[in-house]
Order: sequence, then C-alpha cells, then structure tokens
Amino acid sequence: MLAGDLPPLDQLDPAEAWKPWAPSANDPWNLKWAAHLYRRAAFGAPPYQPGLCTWDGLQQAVAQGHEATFAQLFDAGEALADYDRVMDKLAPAGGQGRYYDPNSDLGLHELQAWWLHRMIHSPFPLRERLTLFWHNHFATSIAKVRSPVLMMRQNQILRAHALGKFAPFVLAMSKDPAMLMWLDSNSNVKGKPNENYARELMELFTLGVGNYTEKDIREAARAFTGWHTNAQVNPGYYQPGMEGQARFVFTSSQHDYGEKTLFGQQGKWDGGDVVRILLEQPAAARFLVRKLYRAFVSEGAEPPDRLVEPLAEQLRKSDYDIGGLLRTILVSRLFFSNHAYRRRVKSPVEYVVGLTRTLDVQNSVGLSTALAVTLESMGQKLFAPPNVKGWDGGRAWLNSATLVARHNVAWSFLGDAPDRTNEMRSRGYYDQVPTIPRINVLTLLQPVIRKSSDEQVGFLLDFFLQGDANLEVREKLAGFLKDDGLTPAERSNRLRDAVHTILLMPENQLA
Amino acid sequence: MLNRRQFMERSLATSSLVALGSTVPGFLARTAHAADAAKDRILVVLELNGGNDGLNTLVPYADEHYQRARPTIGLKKEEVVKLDDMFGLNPGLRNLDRLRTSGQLAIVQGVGYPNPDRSHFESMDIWQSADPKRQIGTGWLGRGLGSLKAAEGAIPGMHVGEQKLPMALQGGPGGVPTIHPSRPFDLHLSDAAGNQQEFDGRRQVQGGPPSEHEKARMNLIKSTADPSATSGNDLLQFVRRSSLQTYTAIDRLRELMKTDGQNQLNDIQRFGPGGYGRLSAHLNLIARLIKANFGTRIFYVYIDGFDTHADQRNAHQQLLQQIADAVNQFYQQLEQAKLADKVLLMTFSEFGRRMAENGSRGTDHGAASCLFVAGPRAKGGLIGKPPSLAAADLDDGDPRFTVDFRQIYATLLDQWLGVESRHILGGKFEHVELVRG
Repeated sequence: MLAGDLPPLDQLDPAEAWKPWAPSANDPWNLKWAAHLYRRAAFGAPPYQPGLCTWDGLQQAVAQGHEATFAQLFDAGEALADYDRVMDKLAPAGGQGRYYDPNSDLGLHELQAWWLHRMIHSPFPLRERLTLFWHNHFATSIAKVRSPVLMMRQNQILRAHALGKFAPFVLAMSKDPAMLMWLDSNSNVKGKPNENYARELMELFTLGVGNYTEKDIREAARAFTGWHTNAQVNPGYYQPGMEGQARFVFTSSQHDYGEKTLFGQQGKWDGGDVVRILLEQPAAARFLVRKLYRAFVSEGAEPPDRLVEPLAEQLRKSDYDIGGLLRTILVSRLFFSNHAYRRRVKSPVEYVVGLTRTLDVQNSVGLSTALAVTLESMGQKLFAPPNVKGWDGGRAWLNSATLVARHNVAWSFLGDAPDRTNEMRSRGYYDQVPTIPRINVLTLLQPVIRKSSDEQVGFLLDFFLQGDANLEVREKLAGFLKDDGLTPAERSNRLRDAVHTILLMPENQLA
Repeated sequence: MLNRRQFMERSLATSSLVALGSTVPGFLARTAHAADAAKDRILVVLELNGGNDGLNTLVPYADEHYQRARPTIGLKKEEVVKLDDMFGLNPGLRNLDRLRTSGQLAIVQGVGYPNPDRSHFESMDIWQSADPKRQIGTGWLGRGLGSLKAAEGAIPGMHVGEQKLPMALQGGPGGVPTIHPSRPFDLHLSDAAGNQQEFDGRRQVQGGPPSEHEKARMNLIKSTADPSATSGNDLLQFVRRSSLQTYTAIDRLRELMKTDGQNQLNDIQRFGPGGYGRLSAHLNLIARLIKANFGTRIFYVYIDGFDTHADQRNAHQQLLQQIADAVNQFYQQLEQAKLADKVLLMTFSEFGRRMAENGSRGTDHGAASCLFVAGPRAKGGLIGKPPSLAAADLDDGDPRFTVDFRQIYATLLDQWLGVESRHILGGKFEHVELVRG
C-alpha cells in the first residue's frame, strides 16, 4: 500500500477515518504532509514569523514533528494579541476622505488589502482561513451594502466567531447591520413580512435545501419582523462616518408578537428562538459538516452519511464547537490520505496568498492592494461574492479566463509585469500606483544554483510541489534548463521561466 | 520567415495537441461533423439574473387586477410602450422598437414550470439544467453541445462575462471557455511582451508572432498539462483538460485579434471605464467574433440586478433599458455585416416576481414571467396565452404559467440549432411558434 492510501470512501470505517493520524515507517511525517496541512489550514505556508522564509519554515515543521506543528497551528501564542491589536487599529475606518465608489472600488481595495495582509502575515492563519470560509458561508456583498466600514465590521464578527460556537455566531450574524441591509431586513415588518433573511438562513446558513417547508420560512420571517438596523447608506451618496453609529435595533412596534409554529414547535417566537430551533434540527449539524468537509477535506465525491454522522454528532454534543470539529478533521487519518491529497481546487485567494508566501515576497505598501485587484480577474472579489450563496468553488474556479489570470499573476512576480499604471489610475490611484514587487528567483534557488539541471528540477519540484510531477515533466523541465553554452543572464532567465512553468502546472492549481 | 498563418498551421501540426488524439478538446476533433446547412446558425442566450419582474416588463396595463395589486409600482397606460388594448412594454424597452415594429421580436408570455421554486439558486438551476426535478447536474446547452455541428476548429460554445461558467453550459464535451473584452486573453511569457500596454488590449494587436523563446516556453507549459498522463485523481485530470483547452483557445483568439486589426483596437477602447455598459461590451465582443467567422454557435451572456425587493421602479426600468440598447446595437452591427439572419437571441430569468408589490415598493420572488426571442428569424409579436390575474387563478399569489420553458428550449434546439431536443430535455415538448421557417 502506498503512503496515505485508504480504502474507498464507501468501505471506510468511520471510526478509523476520523481517528487521529499517526505517522509510520512507510507513511512518515514529511514535506508532503506538512505542505498539505499548510495548504488546507494556512494558505500554503507555516504561520508567519518575521525573518523565517517559507522553505525553512517547512523544513522546521518536518523536523519538529506533526504534534508540535498542530500545536503551533491551533494556538498562535502570545504574538496574536499584539498582531490583532495593530491590525484592528489599521482597519479602514472610513471617514478619512475615502469612500466607496463602485466604479473604481477604491474604498473597497483598502479593505481587501487589509484582509489580505492578515492572511499573509497573521501568526494565526487558520483563523483567517476560517474567516474566509465564513465569508463564503454568510456571503454578503458590498455591491448592495455599499459601506466598507460595515463590511469590515462584519468581517470582524466572522473572525471573532471563526473557531467558536455556532449558535452565538448565527445570532450575531442575524443582528449584523451589513447582513440586515443585504437581506432587506428593514422591510420585514408585522403584517408584511419580507422572507429574504428567513429563507437564506434556512437554505444557506443552517439547514440546506429540502430540510424545511415554505411554511417554516413564512413563520420564521414573522419571528424576525422588527429586527432592523439604523444603518442607512445611500447608494448614490456615501457619507463617511454615518455607519459609526450603525447597529442592530429592535423595532417593537413592527414585531409580530403572535404565535408561530416552526418545525412543530409553537410559541411566540422571535429571531433568537428561530436560531435555537433551527440548530435543534438534526439536518443542521450534517449540513455544516458537509460544507466543512468540502472546504477542508475534499471537493471530490460527496462523503456517505455514515462518514458524516460521527462528526455531526460531535458538533451536537459540543454545542456546535467549530474549533473542536476542525481539529478532529485536520488531524484525522482521512485528512492525511489519498482521499484528501490535492482533492481541492485552490481558490484565487489561496492561490495568490500561497504564491506570496511561497515566493517570500517582501511586503510593500502596494502589494496587498495590487493582489486585491488581481483577485477580481480570477473570479474572487473579496467582500463582493456573486450572491448570497457565495462562490461555488471547486471546478467552477477554473475556466479559460481565470486560468489565464492565474498564469499572469504568477508571471507578475517573476518577470517584467505589464505596466498597469493606466488601469490603476483609471481606478483612482494617482500618487502611488500599487504594484506587485518583482522577486529574484535566484535567491530562492541558492542551494542548487550551480548544480546539474536534473538536480535543479528536483529541487524546484520539491520546493513548489513536494515532488508531485511525473517523469515526463521532469525530463522536459531538465531539457529546458540544460546549459548549452548559455550566458549567465540567459541561465537565470531559464531558471525563472522554469519556476513560472511549475507555478502554472495543473498540480499547483490544487490544494 | 514564416508568416502568422504558416506559423499557426505548423505549430498546430507539430504540437502535442494533435498527438493527444482523442483527449483533445472537442473542437479540434469535430471536423468530421462539418458541412451542414444548420451549422452556422447561432444562439445567444442572455440571462437576467435575480428574477425579472415579468408583469412590469410586459405590462397588462388595462387589467384592473394588475393595477390593484401594484398601487405604487404599477405602470399606467400613458407610461408603457403600447402593444394593444391590454398590453404594453416597460418604457425602458423603447429602444427595441426598431426590432419590434419590423416583426423581429417575439414576446412569449406566461413562461414557467410546474410547482415553481422561489429560491434564486434552485430556480436558476432548474432553468439552466432544464430539469424541475433537480436530478440532472449539467446544463441544457452543455448537453446540446455534444450533438451540435460546428465548423472545423471552432469552439462550439462560449461564455462571455466575468462570472463563473453558468450551469447551462456545463456538461459538454471539452468544456466551454470564458472570455470577456476588458481583460486580454493571453499569456505573458516574456519581458518584451509583458512591457506592452495591457489594459487597453493593444498587446494582442501589436504583439507580433511569438519569439523562439516564447514558443519553447509555450510548448513546455503545454506539456505539463498532458491529459494522457495517468492519474487516479479526477480533479487533476480536469485541470489538465481545462489548461490544454485554454492554450488552444488562446491560439485561436490570437489569430482572430490579429486579423481583426485596427477595428478591434477601436472597439477595445470603448470597453474601458466610461465606455458602453458591460452588457453592450459583451454583446459587442460576440458580434465581433461572429463577424470574424469564429464558428462558435452558442454564446452566453449575463446581466445582473433583477432581484428588485425594494424601490424597484427606476432601477428595473434602467436595467431593461440597458438590455434594449445593447440588443439593438448588437443587431445593428450584425445587419451591417449581413449576418443578422444567422443569429437569434433569447432572454430568460429564473422566475418572475409576485403579483402584489411588497411593503417597500418592490416585489418578492414569484413564478411565471415573460421572455424575449429576438432576430430576423424570430416570429414577432405576442406569443402564448396570457396568464389570468384574477385571484382565483393565481398559483400561491403568482400568475400561473401557460408555456413551459422547456417548450421554448425544444423549439430552439430542434428548429434553430438542429439538435434533437428529445435527448437533451429527456422527453418531447410541444413547440412554440417563435421561429420563422
């Protein structure tokens, strides 16, 4: 049996599958598994430490063993409080002459850059990864909310609850001004309920299609009547600072205090009761587990119910403790198996944050802003998911246009990127045009700079793909790098081009 | 030195693509199907995302039930583009007059399906998969691509837009590429090429044939995406196929952009900020591809914003106006090139909206709606039976459908695209009289 091989999903004993993985002689903790763990849980690199390059960080993870690596991943230690304090302070606050202009996305880029910076530099990348997961789960778009500050505040709620308990999380989202605006809660009033929030709460946030009736939606909408916000952002004229006071308000006069029947439970329910009743439904835990499975284990075959049930049961018993569930998943045998390995398509965010970390791109003023702009061309405009269902993910990430965009962003780190000055000016950047800094691949390649082309290829493939390439590709790359009397400049260009090729490889699109 | 065409021919003949045989995306292997009269008819599908309010699109202005249900957003007789004593079009659609009065605009009323689903995603999937039971995971156009006849070397289906590939186009052999006009569709492979201006797209126009180095780079990149290499990972095979398809489409488009020369440059300048609306830009690109005889037979475009829960009156009218402007311009371009006869354009939306307006001068998710089929070969005028708006006839508060949307699909598949609909739709559906013989 090969390392990581487990029986087919439908023959897998659930107890075995979710048991903690332990390395063995023929399946050791190595570069492959360390990189796999980091791709899934940390955007492809070890938690950020100043001065430690990604390649050394990966070696360190292998050397310290899997237990120590898990510990570091799940507990960021003392560095976190300080990092959070600084980043919270730096959060785009609006009201400084910057406003959201939907044509240039100027106010939005600032916000996207702020979050990307956290993903790249956080000592606790797992929490950022989960924050991204929840952004896609409670998908809310600035296209309607129109306020960077309210989107930022929602993002902070997602972060605060990312690894916590689900019930208080759903309740907090039900009162979040951005969410209330997004799903028209202010027009949900006694006698004329607006079903928008109630429907998406069941369909997309807690239960999934088929696990509720139209009547449940109508009754829940009544329970949420009067759950309003005082936030008012006029799409045509944005007044910075207005949302400083934005908050949840309960409009008693517009709340329907009558009896409602929801999933067989009758009472004078309000929104809080709806959340409680929804999470009492057996479907809720299964729905969440399946979604987390797809995000952290595999986008391949849907797992059979018997594989889902133990995790759903763990959720119910733990009061929906998300962090605990994540830990079970990420340390499991199934996670360290062929069923999970490179069984997900990297999202554009994972792709660019991973690139930035793997190439050890030095942070600069414009880096995360420039990255934010490139993300749009790959189909993932942060804070602006296409609709309340979020991005579909998986195969839907890749088509000819997004593949070309992925190829070209990789090139912009390595080669002379096309001059985007005009584009950025048209988007309102006059003084300092954000650019992606160019890196010198030769500094990455010091260990093999004077070695044979075969050795160089071996090193590069380990560095970027932990060796996931077949013999034919290795030979082609070695042929490309063969030194037939090249000048030093040509030699270094060839190395750079080989790196670019590897970054485009189908294997590198998979997490 | 080789000219561009010789280069293309030579590199195609020697590239790994040909050696890959059956795994090559459909359009290279499809030569056998060529030479058929139906093969140059084109269908453009325009998705109106969010649920278009059919009752404020094709307005039954003289129906008292309508006016009573919509006290603030109902359109009055003097506001609509009058069609007859009962119906008028939303004033936003005035720019369709030219097509309409020359009998090139079919307006199909009461389009829907049994047991309507009022979830955006469910209903959109139902329309796109053509399966109200939600058992089929592929799209009706994607399935149709398998038996569609297309010219040699052509990409049979194409998605033009920024959003993900719609379900409607999924499930075809070889997949469907996505392109859009404001972003160049080309790989940056060398410093020289990268230094060209990117944003306005001049790069493709000015960039000459690739250098030897670029060719070597491209061949190397293609060789890493060889789908004939073994792998037990379906997802990896999918990425390899998609990558290879992308490289081939790039080659084809490079050719087009080059032959299109200066005209194309002018067009591209209009796509930037301050140019046409996005829908116009996308339809403009499609018109250009059609004029360049690109060979694609199904194009898919999209316009968003129809989920009008609040204050919908102006917003909805503006959306319809964008459509009318874009579609009118699109056909004008095709007429100038004498190609309009080959093209039908169909609109659709996942559902209509509730008959009664809500408390915020908007409308919530409803059921049946209307749709348009435009083009010289469309049978102009009102088509189908209007749903009754009397309270007793409503379906849970919404107009009840009179035409199943699959009847329209069946008509277009059988009578326009030359694809037998029975196999695509899983059954026979009665045709609707909307294509002229």
